[in-house]
Amino acid sequence: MSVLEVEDLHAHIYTQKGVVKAVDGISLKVNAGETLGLVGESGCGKSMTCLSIMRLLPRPNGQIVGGRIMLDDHDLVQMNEQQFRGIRGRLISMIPQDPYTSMNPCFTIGNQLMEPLRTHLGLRKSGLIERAKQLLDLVRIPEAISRLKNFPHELSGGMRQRVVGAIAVSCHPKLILADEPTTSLDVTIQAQYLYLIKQIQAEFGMAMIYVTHDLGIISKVCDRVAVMYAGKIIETAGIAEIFQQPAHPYTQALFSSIPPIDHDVDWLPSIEGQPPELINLPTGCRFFDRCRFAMERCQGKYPPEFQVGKKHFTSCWKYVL
Amino acid sequence: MSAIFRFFGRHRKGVGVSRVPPLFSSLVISAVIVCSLFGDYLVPRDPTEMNLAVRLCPPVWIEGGSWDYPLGTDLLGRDILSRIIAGSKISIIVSFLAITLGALIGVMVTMIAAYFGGWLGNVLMRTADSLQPIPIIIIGLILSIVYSPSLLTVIFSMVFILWARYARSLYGEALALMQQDFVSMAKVEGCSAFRIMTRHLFPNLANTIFILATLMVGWAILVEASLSFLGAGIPPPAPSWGRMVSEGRENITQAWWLSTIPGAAILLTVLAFNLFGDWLRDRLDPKLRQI
Amino acid sequence: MNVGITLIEVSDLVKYYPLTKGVFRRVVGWVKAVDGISFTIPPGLTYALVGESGCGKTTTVKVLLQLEEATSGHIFWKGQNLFKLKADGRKNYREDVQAVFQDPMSSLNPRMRVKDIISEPLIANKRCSKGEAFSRAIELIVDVGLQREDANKYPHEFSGGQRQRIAVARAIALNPKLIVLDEPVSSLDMSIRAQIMNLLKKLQEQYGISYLLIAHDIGTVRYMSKYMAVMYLGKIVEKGLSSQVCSRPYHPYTQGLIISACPVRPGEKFGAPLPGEIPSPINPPSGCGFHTRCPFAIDCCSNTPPPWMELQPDHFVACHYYKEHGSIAADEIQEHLNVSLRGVITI
Repeated sequence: MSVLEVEDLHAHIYTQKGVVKAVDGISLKVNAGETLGLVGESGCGKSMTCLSIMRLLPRPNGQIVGGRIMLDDHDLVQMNEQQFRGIRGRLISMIPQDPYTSMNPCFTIGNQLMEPLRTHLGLRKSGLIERAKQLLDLVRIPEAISRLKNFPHELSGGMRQRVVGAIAVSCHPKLILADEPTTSLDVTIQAQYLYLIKQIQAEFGMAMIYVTHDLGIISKVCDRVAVMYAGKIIETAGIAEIFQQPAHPYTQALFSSIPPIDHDVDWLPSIEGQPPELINLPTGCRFFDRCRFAMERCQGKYPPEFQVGKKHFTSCWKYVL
Repeated sequence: MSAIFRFFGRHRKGVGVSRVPPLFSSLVISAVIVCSLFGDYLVPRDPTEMNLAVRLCPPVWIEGGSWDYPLGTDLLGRDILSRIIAGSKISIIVSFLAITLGALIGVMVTMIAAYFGGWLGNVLMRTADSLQPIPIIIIGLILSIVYSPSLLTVIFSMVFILWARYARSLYGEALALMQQDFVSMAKVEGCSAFRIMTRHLFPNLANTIFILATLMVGWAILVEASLSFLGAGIPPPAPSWGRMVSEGRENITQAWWLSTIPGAAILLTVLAFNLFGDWLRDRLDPKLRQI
Repeated sequence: MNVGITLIEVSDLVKYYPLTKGVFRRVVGWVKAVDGISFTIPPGLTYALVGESGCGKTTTVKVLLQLEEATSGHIFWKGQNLFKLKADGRKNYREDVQAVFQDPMSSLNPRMRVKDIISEPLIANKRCSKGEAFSRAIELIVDVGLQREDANKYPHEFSGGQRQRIAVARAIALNPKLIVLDEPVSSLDMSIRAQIMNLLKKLQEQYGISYLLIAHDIGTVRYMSKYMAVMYLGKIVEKGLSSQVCSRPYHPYTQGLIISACPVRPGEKFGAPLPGEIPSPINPPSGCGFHTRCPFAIDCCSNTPPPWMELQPDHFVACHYYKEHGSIAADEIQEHLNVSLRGVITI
């Protein structure tokens, strides 16, 4: 039963140099309790996809220009801003990347935790404090009551991300968008954080979209993975299939270019060249000029989605007979 | 309405900064600079020529005026238009000289303070800070009393404060530059302090220095005009807009054009430079914008 | 370490930063950034320093590059004590030790052309004439995989990976013996990282340069380096051949680090092997700095610094538990940490 259904989403950013097609026809589904990983490099459109779902694209230049986003029965694209404000924070919520700028340095942790509770759940005074304390306990922050009076700068990066996580789940949202929340955390702290997120997700049965480029994180947190390249999703698969049998040449090349920890490798195959500029996209497959398997028809038309395994899809002419 | 805005340089929302300076600024600044460079050839009459027969003649668009003296004449019958053109030279020369000198000193102090840091940096910047609140007019007046007013006293009083303003404005940016990896790399490569300051710090400060300069031109013109107004500026007979405003004070009710026209010249020039500076800043360094 | 000639030997290096308070800068404490580390880098090979924030690897880099003065300890460069050298000797050292930093955006002067950036070390050190410096710069540009025409461009015209190549070309310009690589690929995209790592390896073979690699990604470390040292709170806890340390880690911290970093096989559960926060280097725990988070801490861990033990040839660990139990402790620790992964241990 899907919580989120995105159909053919298009989002453009208007710049002086031209139109950047940040999200160029994305379709995905996330079920309750499931984590979908959005994988890709910088500029592929994964963060923009999250911002589009939250309708937080940079104004005035960013706009959703097509497609549908259905959250349960609500059509997020068609709603007006006032209606959407009731959804943002309550039904969908986001954990941003940078723990140092994601909280307001002028307000206490308690204040920022209680804000969504006040706005969306209408709680008052004593109920607020009790709930805030419960939330801090949930994310395993010790001495919750005294922490409520702390300011963000008094906490470490890992703690801050936990508080941000607590704010995100405070109203029991149906969907959480996590935009690389552990990038700036140390590896051992990151492991703690991922474990915590998984526990909370299991407890509340939330759907999650986790944006990352780190394969270690994907293997720990995600149930399914969608690989993005130049604004499009080029492969979706379950977690086992994507590691054991990546289908798209980009996914294959990406995975093999990551140095393994558990054995030695003489030479690491690398992908030559750069991803294309989102202003000047080619008509055919966007990976064409970097692909080992490139054929003539790859250049002409963008490949359709093809099923290569159980719940495993990819857009590559190699698989289209 | 938006056309008027664009004339003055306010750009449309979301479209970004235009590639050319606002029309108003371009027109006025070009006019002023041309006048200051070629004023001697452009003046219709000798600005110091007195003709008491035509004294207090109004501008051409008022009854009693004539095209012989398009902007009227002053108490001594001197053509105001010619004096305005000639006066531009004073305004531009004084402000450009003061700003260049002030910038030179200010930039050197900033770079030394940022590079060496420690007690030297502290002493230099605290000195710059302490000069901020001093009112420049007072300095100009004191100097004009101790030494008689001249180009030197005016420029000196401006430079005295200007270097501190530059230093203060640039210091933060210079410090941030010192934190950049390419400065650490330059030290690792073995570059001398002088080389780092000239090749790594200065070029990256150049934009800000230039922007500050254009924003200061307006201020400098006003200071010169104020000092001249108070009698502490460039001595007569050199025509200065500020002194023209001052001289017209007594007759303001009968001959309003004596003060108003030079006053308008000051206003338009300062405004043009400020708008130009705004545009330049938006174009070169969006981080400095104050919306 | 059994290598005939060593290029650089760091011995008991210490760097403390003073914490001051008040107008008169009264010293109220010390940030013990680097607290006595020793390692040796052989010529032509890569030595890696691995650790999380606060472990002291960045400070070590700064001291090695002479951007900071050491508080105590020694650095022996080609047999000579660096801190006792005069200005001349230090200058030679500086020319022989160059660096590539993490952030490709801020490590290149945006106002200089590529050819100026690369030739600057040669010109600043008066190694050759300007013309020769420029031709050498163009050779280097091609060596690192860019085009000759790129010499006249400005940094902002290049992508992150290309800028890092320019930084590498600049580092090689003086033909150094050692290049310090401070997280050279962390800011780059995944597909570009392999390109740059391969480039660095190729140049190492071509020029016989040693690298000191600072990284937090274990995979990168294993691929690029022959030897590695794991740092925690200013001290080294384990060091040895990279392949050994990565496949058979001894120290509980190293084990926790590697388990945290490794991808998990589908179906396997994962957990957080190391609970707690990393302590601050201002007041590090006494004795072994790791004892506050170590599931195997015994009494002496909190008051005595642990001794060094060579458990395999060229593989050293500083841990009291190993002193007590010998090398089989490795299995015990691994078993415990893995057990914790099956969801039994809470954070």
